[in-house]
Amino acid sequence: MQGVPLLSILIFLPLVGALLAMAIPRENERLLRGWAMVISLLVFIVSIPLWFAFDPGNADFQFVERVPWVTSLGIAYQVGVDGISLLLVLLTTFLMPIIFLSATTSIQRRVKEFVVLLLVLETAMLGTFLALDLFLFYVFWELMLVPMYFLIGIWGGPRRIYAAVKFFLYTMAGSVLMLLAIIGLYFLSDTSASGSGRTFDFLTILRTPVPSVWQPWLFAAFALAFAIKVPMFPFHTWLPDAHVEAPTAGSVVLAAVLLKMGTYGFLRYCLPLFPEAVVAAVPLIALLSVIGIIYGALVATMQRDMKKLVAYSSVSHLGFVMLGLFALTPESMQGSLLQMVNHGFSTGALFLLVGMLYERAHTRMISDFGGVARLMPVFAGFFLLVMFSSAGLPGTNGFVGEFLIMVGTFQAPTLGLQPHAIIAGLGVILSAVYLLWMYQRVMQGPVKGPGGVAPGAGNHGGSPGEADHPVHLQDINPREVMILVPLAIMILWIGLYPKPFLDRTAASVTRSGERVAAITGGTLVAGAR
Amino acid sequence: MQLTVPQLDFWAIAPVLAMTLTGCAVLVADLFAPPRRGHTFLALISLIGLAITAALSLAIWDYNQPAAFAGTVAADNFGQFFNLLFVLIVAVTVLLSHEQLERDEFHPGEYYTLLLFSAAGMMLMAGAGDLIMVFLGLELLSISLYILAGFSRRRLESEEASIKYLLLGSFATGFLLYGIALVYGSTGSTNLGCVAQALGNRSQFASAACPTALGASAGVPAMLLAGIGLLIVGLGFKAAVAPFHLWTPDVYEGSPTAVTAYMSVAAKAAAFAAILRVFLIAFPSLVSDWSGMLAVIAIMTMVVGNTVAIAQQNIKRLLAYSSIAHAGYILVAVVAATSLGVQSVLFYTLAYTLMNLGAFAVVILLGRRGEENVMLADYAGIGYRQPFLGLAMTVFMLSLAGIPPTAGFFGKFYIFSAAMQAGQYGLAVLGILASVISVYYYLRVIYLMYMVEPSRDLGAPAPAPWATAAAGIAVVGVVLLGLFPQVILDWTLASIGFMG
Repeated sequence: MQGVPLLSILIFLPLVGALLAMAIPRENERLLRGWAMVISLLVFIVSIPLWFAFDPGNADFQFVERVPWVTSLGIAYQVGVDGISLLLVLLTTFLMPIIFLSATTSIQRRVKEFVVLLLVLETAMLGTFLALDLFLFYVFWELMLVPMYFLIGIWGGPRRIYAAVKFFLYTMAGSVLMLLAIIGLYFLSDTSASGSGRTFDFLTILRTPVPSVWQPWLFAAFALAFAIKVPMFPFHTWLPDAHVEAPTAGSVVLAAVLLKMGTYGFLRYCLPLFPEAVVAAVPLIALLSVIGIIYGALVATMQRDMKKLVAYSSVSHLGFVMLGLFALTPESMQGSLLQMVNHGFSTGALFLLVGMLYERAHTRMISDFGGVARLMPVFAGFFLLVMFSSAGLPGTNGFVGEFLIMVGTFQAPTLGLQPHAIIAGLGVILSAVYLLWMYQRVMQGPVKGPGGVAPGAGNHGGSPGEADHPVHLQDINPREVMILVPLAIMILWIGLYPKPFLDRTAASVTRSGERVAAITGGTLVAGAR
Repeated sequence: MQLTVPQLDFWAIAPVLAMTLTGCAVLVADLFAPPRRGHTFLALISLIGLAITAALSLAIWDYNQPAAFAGTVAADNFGQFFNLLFVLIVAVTVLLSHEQLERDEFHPGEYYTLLLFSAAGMMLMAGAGDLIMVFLGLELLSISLYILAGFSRRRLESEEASIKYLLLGSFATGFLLYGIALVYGSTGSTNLGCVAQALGNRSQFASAACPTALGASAGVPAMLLAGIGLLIVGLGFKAAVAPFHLWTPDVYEGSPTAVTAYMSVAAKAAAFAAILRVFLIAFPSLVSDWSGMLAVIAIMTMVVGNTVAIAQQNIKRLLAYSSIAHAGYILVAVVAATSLGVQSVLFYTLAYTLMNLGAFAVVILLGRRGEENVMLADYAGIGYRQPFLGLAMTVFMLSLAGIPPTAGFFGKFYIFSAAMQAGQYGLAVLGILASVISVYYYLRVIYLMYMVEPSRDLGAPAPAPWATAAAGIAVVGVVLLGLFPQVILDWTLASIGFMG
């Protein structure tokens, strides 16, 4: 693979696909959908060699490509992959074909715009993970907002415009200050009078420690941008709106990939660049994370809308990820990274499942359903597995991630995070509560459908039998099985044999945490197991 | 009395001459223009003249004659950069006015002539070496614009715009003139270089006959500071910065859209060229005095422009307030007063020109005979009915909002880099937060186009190849400038020699 610009192909293939899709007449929806499948599968195939050619023992960036871009400002097009971005890149390329497949039924109008926007979004997401130049990173980071804004705004639910604008403004407000911080890093990268060595090159900036005076300010700007994206309590309020209004495809991308941008940013940029500020911020962030875990879980418990329930469960789960990152032990950080991927699979799958139910019944209210498992046994089986994964049951991927996070957090004695770990443990129990309770109400009990009673009565109540069930809840078809099987495989694979995943992340995570470890006095040893 | 005839270096003013002669040529050609195809004929003459002007500007690139015509005109790359920019602005304006002239039955001869004369005025402002020259250029620009604003004679709003602009503009000019008088009174000269020397700075722009310098003990006279303040008022009015912006929305709304497009970019660019010239050549030593004033104005401008724009229902008024906000961003870079700051002003002016002209081109293309269709509600569903217009407007709105990878993003990035470098952290933070507010109203245009069903039928668009070409040029320009800014950055770097 020497000499092949693998990462650039990966980043720009979807964009080229999107541009070519613009030439396809909008009436030809079959061709558009087929084209999107071909491109997204092709991107996935191109990304597979990364997994095998990646050298797990090497903490440096691999497959690095560099092309000068705006030379007078030290901006370059520079991309590379390490253990932190590898899994997230593969997660993205893996999910895109699945999302396009699921959109076959869920997106019925303006197919052309959908295909173009989602492919552009893929370019932006991959670019964000792979960029090794801060300017380039910011360009991709902001670029992500535009297609997502359209996805929510065009195909979303009744309050879609409100949700889309809120999503855009919230994220934008956070990230503009990061732009100033990036500019600050640029000027700090060469403080000599001539300033000729100033650069946005992340690798160079990594080698020049940021002065202590500047760390809190720059960290705050970066952290705000990432915290909104994660989203951390109390910056989470855009998330339920965006999730509930977005179409299924949008929700899946949002939950599985976009939210990871925030946690990825903390791990990639904040930890190595601002170690002193990070250590100082641990108490605050750990506290907010724990609040997020419990708050998200409690609010999820009370939801009547399944999609909203899953949205709030994301707040809770990402609280775990944040706690693990800021516990600053190798186990917890690796667990966090793995949990980012896990959350992508399990929450993505949950949104897909809720979407499938919604397509059949045109409602997502828990109270509208009952006994669905009897009508849709295969569906219920997948639902159960995904739910276990989300609740962190042993044998599924969620367990591995959450376990590592809690072990790591408990072992962070210098930082005094044991209480946090214990409370986070309660969060795991709560997640089982809201998920199982939802399962019980929707899947079990007497069969019930939207509208509830016989035609004409028009309201809920009564105890209708199967005979007057107003909608036909048919079990999932082969296409939908095809959507879910890959996700189920990943859930079980990571759950039963996580070693290949952890191996590939260990070295880079350790490297990213080195400077922090030097301050806390902890010794970061490679490899969690 | 001895009269010395200054050396006449016509090369130094070749572009201005070409622009003026083109205006005269159009005026004469109007007499002989075929009655039917007159529009096209005169437009072509204008475009040819503009091409010659651009060629002459390029020919005297690096000519560097800082004190031609006894120090009244400076022919340096800074001036040439703006000359080329003005040529671009006028050329695009000619393109996007073409169908509107036909549609609204304007008389093309005067229209093109006034455009070209106003451009000559702007070129004199950007190349001024003397405050009197700034004043003359500004007057030439303003008087042409007063007439252009009222060109749509049958519409009352247009006449209102013209009168309003004239009355308030005359006041502003008076302020400028009074400011010049006070500067003259305290330094003994109106020549920018001589003013600088009088304040104790050596300057390449000084004419041969500067009066002697002020005594070192004199300090900074209050009269001079008052003069500087009045200069800010006079030039700030033309640049439409708060609190001298109150004319802007009414005049922009009332003027014919093509004229609005033109003045929103042209007058602003000329005013900023003059501001940079005057303040960085004549008063570099007083930077701590005037940059504070400008910083306050910049903050007010950004806040007022962006917040009031949110409430607008008319796209022309929305773009008027947005143009006020953009003047605020440019001021941030002026406040930085560094070489990076000046470069970013140049870059941003170009980026702003492309995206704003483009946005107005879309507004024009949405107009129909007898109906301007300038309410925001008229934009509902445009993205699907006229896909090119929708896409183009989306690009312009995203660029104005500063979303990558557009020219507007890179421009803002550049400006805030300059502010950070100059240590103006507070200004940078306020400015960038103000730009987040702007995202709200730019997004509103986008969601109307794509996410709202149209409330009424606008009727089929008449074919408008000229204005469509203008929009196309602007789209390509905005994207290319955002993706590959290096070429223009090199030009801006070569244009800041005047800072000494």
